[in-house]
Amino acid sequence: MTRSAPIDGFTSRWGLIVASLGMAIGTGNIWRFPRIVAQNGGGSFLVPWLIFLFSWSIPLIILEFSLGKAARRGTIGSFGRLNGRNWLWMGVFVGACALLIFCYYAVVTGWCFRYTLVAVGDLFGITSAMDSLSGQDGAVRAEEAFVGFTHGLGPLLFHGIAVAAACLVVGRGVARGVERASKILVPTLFGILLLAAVRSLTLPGASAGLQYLFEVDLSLLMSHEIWIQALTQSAWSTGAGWGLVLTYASYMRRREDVVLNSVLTGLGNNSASLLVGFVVFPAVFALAPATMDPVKDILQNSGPASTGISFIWIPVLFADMPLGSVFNVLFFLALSVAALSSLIAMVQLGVRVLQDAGVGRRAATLGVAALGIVVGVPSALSTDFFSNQDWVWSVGLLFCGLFLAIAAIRFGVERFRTHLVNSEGNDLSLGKWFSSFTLIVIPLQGILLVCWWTVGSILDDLEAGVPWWNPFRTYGLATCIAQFALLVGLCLVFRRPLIRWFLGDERSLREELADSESTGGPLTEGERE
Amino acid sequence: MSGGAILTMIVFVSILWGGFGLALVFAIRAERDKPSSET
Repeated sequence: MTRSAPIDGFTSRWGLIVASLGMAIGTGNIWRFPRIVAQNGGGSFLVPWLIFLFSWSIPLIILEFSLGKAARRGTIGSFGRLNGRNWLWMGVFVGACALLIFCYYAVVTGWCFRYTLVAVGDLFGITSAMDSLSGQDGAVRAEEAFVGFTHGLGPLLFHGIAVAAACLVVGRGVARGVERASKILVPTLFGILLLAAVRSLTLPGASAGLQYLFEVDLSLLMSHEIWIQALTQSAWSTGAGWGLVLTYASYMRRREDVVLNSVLTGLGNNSASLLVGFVVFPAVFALAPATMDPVKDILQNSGPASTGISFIWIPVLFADMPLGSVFNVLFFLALSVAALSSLIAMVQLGVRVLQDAGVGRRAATLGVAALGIVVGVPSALSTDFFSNQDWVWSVGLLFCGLFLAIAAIRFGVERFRTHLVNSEGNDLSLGKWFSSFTLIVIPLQGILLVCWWTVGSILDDLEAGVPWWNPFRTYGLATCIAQFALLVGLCLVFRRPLIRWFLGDERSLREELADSESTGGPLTEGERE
Repeated sequence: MSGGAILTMIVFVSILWGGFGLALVFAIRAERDKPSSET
C-alpha cells in the first residue's frame, strides 16, 4: 500500500514556527514553571533548566522535525517508515501517550475557559467571584470554590467545549485551521504576557520577586533533585519527544529548514517561561499578605491536583490589588490561549494518525473528538483520576524521548544526521558532534532520569509505608508499569492490522538507504520520495 | 535587587530572548535570500 502525502500543509515558514511555538507553550509554562522554580531554589533552578534546553529538548525537537519531514506521516507511520514494521509499536506508544494526555489536558483547558469566563464576568460586574476572595480567608474560600467546581458537572461541560474548540480548528485543515489559528493565538499570548509583566513589574515590592527568581545559590546545584526536576520541566514544557513536532513536520514544505526551526521552537518556549516568571514572581511577592511567606505558603503550595498557584492563589492575590480584575482576566486568558494552542496540536496528532490509516479528515476529527470526550470524562469528574493520568502519561513522555533517540540510533546516527537532519532546505547544518550527541548524551540523560524516577518512586513509597507494587494507587511505579504494559500488550495483539494500516508492503528508509549505499551513492531526497 | 541577581537576569534574558531574537532574524534573512520557488 502506498501512502499519499497530505493534501494540505503549512503554507509558510512563519506558519510552521508559530504553530510549533503554540504547541510548545502551554499550561506547563504558566502553571507548572513558577511552582517548580519555587520548589527547587528559585534562581538556582534556572541554571540546569537552561542546560537541559540545549542538551535534551532542542536535540529531540531536531530529531522529531527531521523524522516528520522525511517520513511525511504521523507518529506510528514515521517510526515504521524509518526502521521497519518491528518499530511501529514505538510510534503507537508515542502517539497514545500524546492522545491520552489530550484527554485530560482538555479538562484543564476547560478549567481555564471557566475561570476566564468568571474573570470576564467579574470585570463587567456580571459575577462577583473575586469579591468573596478578599480578606484573610480568601485562599480557603478560593480552594473551596475550586473543589466545589471540580466536584460538580461544570468540568464536564467545559471539557466538552475545549474538545469542540480544538476540533473545530483542526477540522478546517492545517493551512486554514491550525496555521491561521496559531497566527492569531501565539502573538495574542505573547501580547497578554507582556502586558501582564509590565503591570506586575510596576507593583510596589516587585523587585523582591525578581531577586528570588534570579538569585543563584551555587550550593543547591550539588543536589541531584534540582537537576532531575530541571530535566523533567524541560522535557514536558517544550513538548520534546511528544510526537507533536513530528506531526507538524509531516506537513512542512519539502525544502523547509529543520535545525533553525527547532532552535526557534526551544528558545521561544523557554523565553515564554521566563516571561511568565516576570509576571508571577513579582506579583506574588508584591501582593502576598504580610503574615505569609510568599515562597513557602504560596508558590510552593501545590493544592489539589497541583492547582495551587493558578486556580487558588492568583485570584486571591489579584482580589486585593488595584485593577486586579483586569489582571485576572489577562492571566486566565493567557492560560486559556496557551492551553488551546497546545490542545490543537494534540488533536492534529490524532487526526494525522487516523488519516495515515486511510480515514478522511472530517471522520478522523470526529473520532478524535469522541475519544477526547469519552476518555476524558473520568478525569473531568475525579481529580484523583486526573492526577493519576497526569502522573502516568507525563512519565510516559520520558520514554517517548528515549524511543526517538533509540530509533535514530537503530537507523544509524550518522546516516540520520547526513540524510534526515542536514536535509535539503536547511539554513544550518550540524556537524558530526550531533551524531555522538544522539548516540550518547540523549540516551544517557533519558536512562538516568528513568532510573532516578524508578528508585525514587519505590523509596518514597517505602518511606511512607505504602505498597509500591499496588497498581490501583493514584501515584507510584506500579500504576505506570500496569498502564504501559497494557498499551504495549495492545500493540502486540494488534500488530498485524497495525502493519497493514500504517505500512503495508512499503520498505523502510533504513533498508532503502542501505541498498543505495551498497550499490553506490546516497539516496537523494527526490529518490526517497 | 542584589548585583548578582541583576547579572543573572541579564545573562538569562540575553541567552533566551536574545538568542530567540537572533535566530528569528537569521531565519527571516535566510527566507528572504531563498529563491522564490523554494518559499
